[in-house]
Amino acid sequence: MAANYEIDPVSGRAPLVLGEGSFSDVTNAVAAPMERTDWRKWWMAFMVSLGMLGILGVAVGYLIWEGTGIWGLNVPVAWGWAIVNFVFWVGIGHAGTLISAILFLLRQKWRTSINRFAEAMTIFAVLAAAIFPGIHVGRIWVAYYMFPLPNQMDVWPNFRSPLLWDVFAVSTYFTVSLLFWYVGLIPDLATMRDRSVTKLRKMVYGIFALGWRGSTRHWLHYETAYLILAALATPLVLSVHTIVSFDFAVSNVPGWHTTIFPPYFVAGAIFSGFAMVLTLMIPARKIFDLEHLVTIKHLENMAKVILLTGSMVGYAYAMEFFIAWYSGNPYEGFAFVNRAFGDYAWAYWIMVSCNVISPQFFWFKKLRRSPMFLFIISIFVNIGMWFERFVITVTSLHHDFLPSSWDYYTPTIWDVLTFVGSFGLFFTLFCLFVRFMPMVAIAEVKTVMPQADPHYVPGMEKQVQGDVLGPGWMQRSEADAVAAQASVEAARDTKTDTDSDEGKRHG
Amino acid sequence: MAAIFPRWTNKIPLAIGVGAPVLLSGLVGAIWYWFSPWYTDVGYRPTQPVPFSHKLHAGDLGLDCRYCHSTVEESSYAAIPPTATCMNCHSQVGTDRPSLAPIRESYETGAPVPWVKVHQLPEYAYFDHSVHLAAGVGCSTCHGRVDRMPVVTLESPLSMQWCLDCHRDPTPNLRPLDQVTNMDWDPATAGYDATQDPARTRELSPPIHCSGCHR
Amino acid sequence: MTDTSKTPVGKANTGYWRSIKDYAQQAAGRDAASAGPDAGREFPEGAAELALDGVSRRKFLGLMGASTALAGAGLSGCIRKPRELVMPFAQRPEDLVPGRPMFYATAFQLGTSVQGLVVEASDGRPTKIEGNPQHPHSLGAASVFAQASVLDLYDPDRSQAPRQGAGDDAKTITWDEAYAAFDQVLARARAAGGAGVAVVIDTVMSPSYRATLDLLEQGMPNARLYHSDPAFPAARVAGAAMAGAAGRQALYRLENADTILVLDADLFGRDGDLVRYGKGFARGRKIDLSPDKMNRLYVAEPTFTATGAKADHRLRVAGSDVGNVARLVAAELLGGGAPAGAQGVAGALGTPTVAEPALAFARAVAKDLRAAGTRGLVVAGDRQPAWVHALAHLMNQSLGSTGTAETWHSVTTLPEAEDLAALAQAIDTGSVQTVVFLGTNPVYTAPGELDLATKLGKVPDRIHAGLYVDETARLSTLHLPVSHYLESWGDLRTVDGITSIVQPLIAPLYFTPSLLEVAARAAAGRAINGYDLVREYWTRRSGGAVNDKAWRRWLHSGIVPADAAGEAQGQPPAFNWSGLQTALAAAPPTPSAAGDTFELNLYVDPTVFDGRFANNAWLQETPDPMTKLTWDNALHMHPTDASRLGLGLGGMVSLTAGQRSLDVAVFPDPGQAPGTVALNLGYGRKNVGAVASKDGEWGGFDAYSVRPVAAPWIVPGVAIKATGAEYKLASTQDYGRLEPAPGWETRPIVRELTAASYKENPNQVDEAQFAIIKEDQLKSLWEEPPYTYPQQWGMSIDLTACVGCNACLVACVAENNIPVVGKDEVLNGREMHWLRIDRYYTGQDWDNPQAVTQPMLCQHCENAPCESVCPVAATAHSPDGLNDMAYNRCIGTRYCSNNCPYKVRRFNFFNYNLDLPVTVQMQKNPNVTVRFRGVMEKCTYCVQRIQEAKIQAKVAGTGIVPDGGIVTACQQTCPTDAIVFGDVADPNSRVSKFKAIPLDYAVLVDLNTQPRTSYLAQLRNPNPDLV
Repeated sequence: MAANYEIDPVSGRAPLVLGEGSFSDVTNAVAAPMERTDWRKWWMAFMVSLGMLGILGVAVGYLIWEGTGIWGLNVPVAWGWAIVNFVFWVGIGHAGTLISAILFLLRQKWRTSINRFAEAMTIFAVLAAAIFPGIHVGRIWVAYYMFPLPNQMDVWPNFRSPLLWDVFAVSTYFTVSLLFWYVGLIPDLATMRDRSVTKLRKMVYGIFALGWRGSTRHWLHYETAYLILAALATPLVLSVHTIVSFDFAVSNVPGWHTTIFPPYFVAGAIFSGFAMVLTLMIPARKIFDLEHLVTIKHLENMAKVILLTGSMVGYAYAMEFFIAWYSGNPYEGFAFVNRAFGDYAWAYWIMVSCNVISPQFFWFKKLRRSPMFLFIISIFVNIGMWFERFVITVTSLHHDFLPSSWDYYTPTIWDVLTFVGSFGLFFTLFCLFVRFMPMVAIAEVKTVMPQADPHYVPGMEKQVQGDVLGPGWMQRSEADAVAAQASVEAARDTKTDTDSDEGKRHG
Repeated sequence: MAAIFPRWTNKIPLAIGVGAPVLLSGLVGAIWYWFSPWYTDVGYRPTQPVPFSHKLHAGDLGLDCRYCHSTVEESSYAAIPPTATCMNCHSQVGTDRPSLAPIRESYETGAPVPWVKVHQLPEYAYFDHSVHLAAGVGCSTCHGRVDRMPVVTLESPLSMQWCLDCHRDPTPNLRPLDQVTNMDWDPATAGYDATQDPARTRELSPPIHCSGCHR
Repeated sequence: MTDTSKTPVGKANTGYWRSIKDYAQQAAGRDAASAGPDAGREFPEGAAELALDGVSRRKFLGLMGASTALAGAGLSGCIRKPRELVMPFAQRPEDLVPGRPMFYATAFQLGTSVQGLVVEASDGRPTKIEGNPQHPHSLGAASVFAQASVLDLYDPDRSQAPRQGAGDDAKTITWDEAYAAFDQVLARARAAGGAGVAVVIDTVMSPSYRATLDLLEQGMPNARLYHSDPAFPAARVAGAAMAGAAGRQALYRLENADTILVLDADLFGRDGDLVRYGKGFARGRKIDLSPDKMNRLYVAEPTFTATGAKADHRLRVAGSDVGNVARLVAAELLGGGAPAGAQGVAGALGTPTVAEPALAFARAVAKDLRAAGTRGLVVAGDRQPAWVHALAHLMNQSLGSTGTAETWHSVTTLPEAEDLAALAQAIDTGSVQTVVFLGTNPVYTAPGELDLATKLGKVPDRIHAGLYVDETARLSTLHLPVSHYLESWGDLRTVDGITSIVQPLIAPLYFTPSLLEVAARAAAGRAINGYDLVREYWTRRSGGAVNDKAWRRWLHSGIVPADAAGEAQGQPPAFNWSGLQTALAAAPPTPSAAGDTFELNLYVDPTVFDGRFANNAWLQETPDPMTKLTWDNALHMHPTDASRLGLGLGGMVSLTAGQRSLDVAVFPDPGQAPGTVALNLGYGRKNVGAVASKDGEWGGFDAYSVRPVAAPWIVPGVAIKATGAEYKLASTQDYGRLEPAPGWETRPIVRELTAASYKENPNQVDEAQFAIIKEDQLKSLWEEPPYTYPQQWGMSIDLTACVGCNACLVACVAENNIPVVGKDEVLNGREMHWLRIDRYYTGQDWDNPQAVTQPMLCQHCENAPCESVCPVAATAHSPDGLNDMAYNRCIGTRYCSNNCPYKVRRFNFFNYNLDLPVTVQMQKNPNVTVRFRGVMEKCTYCVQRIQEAKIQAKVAGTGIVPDGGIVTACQQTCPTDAIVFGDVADPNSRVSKFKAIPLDYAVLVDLNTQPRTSYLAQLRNPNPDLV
């Protein structure tokens, strides 16, 4: 549907929801994908993802049966794709919470139409990441030694080890993100419950809606809980990848042992996270006709974040080299020269061109606003960020202190399959998400619509359009007035919309 | 609108709130008890090819442990005696007792008697009898009152925790160096203090680090 | 018997024989065993019963507990333990304490060299080999070959039953059938007076074996003896003869020399005598032994050897030019007056046209040698022609070192025998009806052009007795498996007449006769068991003086007293130089052939020797001391030559020598003289065993096939052209320099300086430490562990002494149950050696570098980076300063390996001990856990030996281990005593004294790891004239 006005009449800024959408329109638009009847395309996508998930099963099964040796690891390069993938996925799992928590606290209204989506992606990415620390160990069946459980051996984990910090950091992050996501879902689940036609759906949504009726008290508790969780999640966004970076920074390997890692990793994580959101969002908004909810403005904002974080990452790359030279430590110095010009130079330059150069196009508004272009660049950024982790992990290890132990690392087919499989897990969960959950936070989006604003007077948008359009707007055709009137009516009618909306307007 | 769930479902949250903790603690407790060596290992009493009674030999007849387990002071483990040791007496005593047939057969053929091991340590734990005896740890401290066992039974869990408890604070389990094989010696009544014993020429330093037992 | 036995430390002071009973037991065991399969039950405990019934197999697996049980239940930490049986002796040998190992003295032969050994037996299984401290040729150390020989005993590919019929229609037969066939053939031969009988023997260093062969010849006067030993120093023998000392051999004693010129001999790498050479060299080299002056080593050689790496000056020169260098040096030396009778020689030397730097080298060497006088020594390599040896003897005589640094001895054990060319000829003439191969494998080791394989077809009766069903056995009509030396009675005599009795550690696993017993049967026509034979021989030899007491003393000490051994030793011979003069005149100096052909230099291999160890997995995986190649040999070629032919590492070439050619992979070796190539013998064997080779995957290339009879070592005019094919070569060290890349500064990992500059400023090494960060600025993130134990363990390694011979590496493998991973895994960079020897090329000229070797093992850092990062505390510090590794706690994150700056941690990527043959399991050390898949492992400083020593000290009541009470496996076997271990808390301990030497430094000290292992910087003693 074409926009019938260009600016939000209340805020006077570009509107966050296009079209003469009433509240119910929003609900309908978001619910449509879940209520459609033709699922053939979905099944295709789902089957493909499931197949990839199967590959993961096979790869991990063979790994447990045969041993870590099926991967390309060796001494000195004792960490390979498994760790690279772990950091890659954890990084991606950053955008969601950042958008929903930090932007929420900063009162960034534009977050509303993308946060649900990004949070889901976060959860799934962290799940995909969580596989790897588990399976990369040599004796998976005793991996539980990592947890501080009382045992007949009287032995406890070593709390000095960054890997142990990881265990706590990631699991905390996952738990909070999940809660945050779920709390945000409750009103929408209730909406879905009320819209459900089949008994089963009613039951299931009903269970998860926890008996939400949208009463004022509900909304009161809801808003508080959401705020608290946002406050909880915000530091975690920074802490998780800081601690993940400690896995490297706390060690003494030249190329790992650098103080810049925590901020550099966090920036990189947000960078990759937003890229992944774009990669998924751009096709989704098209397929499910959500372009009026997830507008170009949203995409553009994300592009700006990518440009910012991408440049921060680029700065970090440069600074690493400077410090390596400035420190005067020959081992450090060689590690970085070796990165850029050694055996793995190809990987390094892929990383630089994808992460530093490609986002620079976003200086141009035209490119920023082109979904196609955004999509392509976001793919590049994903590739680049995976290679960043590969470069950090492998190039630092393969040429360290004693030249006698230097070696070259080549992944095996099993490394590749495990990585592909992790995408299988990610996409499988995603397919389920788009089918059974509201992709956009219905309730939240409504709050940023002009109608939700107390200062909104029905039909005022026409007036505002007039101010903008200049004198002579009064000579507009009657039809316009009728249309405006209609929209205002619609806004009032929402009283008879759904329970959940009722509370919304009072709440 | 019509209610989806019956009224009683309102109690579910309460039930979960109360039930879950109970269930969880129950589970932990179960693992604590049934998975501990105190349950899994203690009491292990295999039947032996020959119904040898420690109660008779060590208890009633009062043989010293070292008569049979002669290597205990010089070797890592107290070797099961060779058949010849049994025959020292049983060439005269109970020569035709059917229960001793395997002994006589072994003595003639030279084939070993397949005794079943009661006190098993994992292969990666390297225990040494000689040094424990030298430190004044009594046989009964770990093996219990073998002199009252018609059939030898595992009395201690032999778990790492159990080892460490003593290694961290050995003194309560120590006895005079000449009382090591004395089954009747009771630490409770004896009131012995190893640190004051002049017979001890070195300070005790039981290892509590990995390589003390794992190599 | 299920759990473990202990390894006593300080083996020197452990009795080998405990009592008469013990010895009697052993004799009984041996009697029974040689009597046939139904015997061998009462002794030994473990092994002989192995093959018999389930119970003893289970008992045996119990003995092996560590391996299988652990792999399954053990490490994976299950709750219920498996039902285990205890199998006590019916009659325990009186002095056998279950769980305490026993030690027996014996001896080991390799070519003409003999080492006295002390072998450890755990529960009756020989598990570890050490040098006999009382034997002058081992002095407590054992060579890499001796160390690994224990594995051959358990090799499942050993021949286990006699075979009849050649080739594919061969079938295994019973011993009775085999002996019947054997006796029949030999009886016929004796009846014919030995006419048409050819006996092919190996190099004989055993008096009783020699006597048996004499007996054989008496029985068959017309039988002919042939000698088959591809590594035999024929030129050395001929050289002695040329110098007028026929029948005698020279022995070089480096300890009596200050200036040593080595003409193309790899004394420390390939030579069977490397232990003796190492000990001698170290004595004149090590700063702690000779603080005021160091000896100086000159080496002229075509390819890079361990000896060349150790040299103060190494002249890279073609093999055929080494003689010319010798001529130049001799000319300089004899110029100032030759010894009596040698005046003519100086004239006959001629003036070889040799380019610099050889000229300057020769002059400087000659000057230096003359200065050294009676402490100057010239050593001629066995690859060089006879006249070079003779010339070396002459130079030594003129220097006056004959009798001190070069001693002369009559070798009484070598029988008169013709060479294999003569055998081939005899077969051609059809004069051979019966050929008996006694422990020899000429079909493989004979020069290819003799083509024995096809010729043998003409001989009706072909009998082979040997350890393996090898190339020769396959072509023989009758094959008898023989016993390993650890299963046999015998005796061995060194070149200089030190004799040892060889006694078995275990009854033959497969009820085989010893080679001696086979020879005796052939001679006498009836079974004579080895024990009686040896015992009788020595009774006869010593005029009946050997009562049981004396005999037991011999066995206990491992040495037969000289009086019993007989003849006096060592007087210099009456030289006669006319032979040398004519030889020199006959072979005028010629410049090495230039042009587009190469000079091929053949060597025995420093790991598989002449191929006899080809099926020994430990040695196959032992890296070559210089190239670090495993599982293959390769054609060494200088990088410039290689690039000219467009070849890189593993590029295949077709090599043509005369009529025969061979496809072989190239290894670019900067130490190789341009225009020459080098190839090791002993590889390219086919179907001898699962280890030796796998087609196209490993096993290397058969150099014998292109070996000419006329020029067995140095082959001129070899054509080489690239085939374009590629072959994977598995080297354990990819990058070979201390500079990370051209233009970067040298990393101070190996520190090296000259003796002169050390004298100037002894503290320079110390001052050079902490170059990146000052010591006081180093802070640790974590507080250091408390070192509460009264004794603190540490190690010092003297790089000046280390010759990189690999003995420590193999000793470590044997002691610590280190798995063999195979070529593929080595290619993956997953070799498991806890102790590796790094080789770095040094010097400014990257095309003609020097080289240094550095043993690298766990440094046992006090601030161990591995410990702080392990999430489960599987590696932690002990109060006595060890970096412990608890395998069963390890979950295998490999973080510790990443964080180890020395990369000495090894990870079990697969279960490398899966399906280990039962016999191989018998070798495992019961005191060391056999590691399961997925756990990290590393050097423990032989913690099992430390613990045992501490336990003994505690039982003794002191609790303090005396200095030298703990000897690590690597330290014990080091031929140059480069490794010292002990209590660093005690300022008077030997290790503390070593660490007090100003040369002491720690690797990567700037990382604040504070290693307990430190190194003494390598000192070289270059000649000022050549610098």
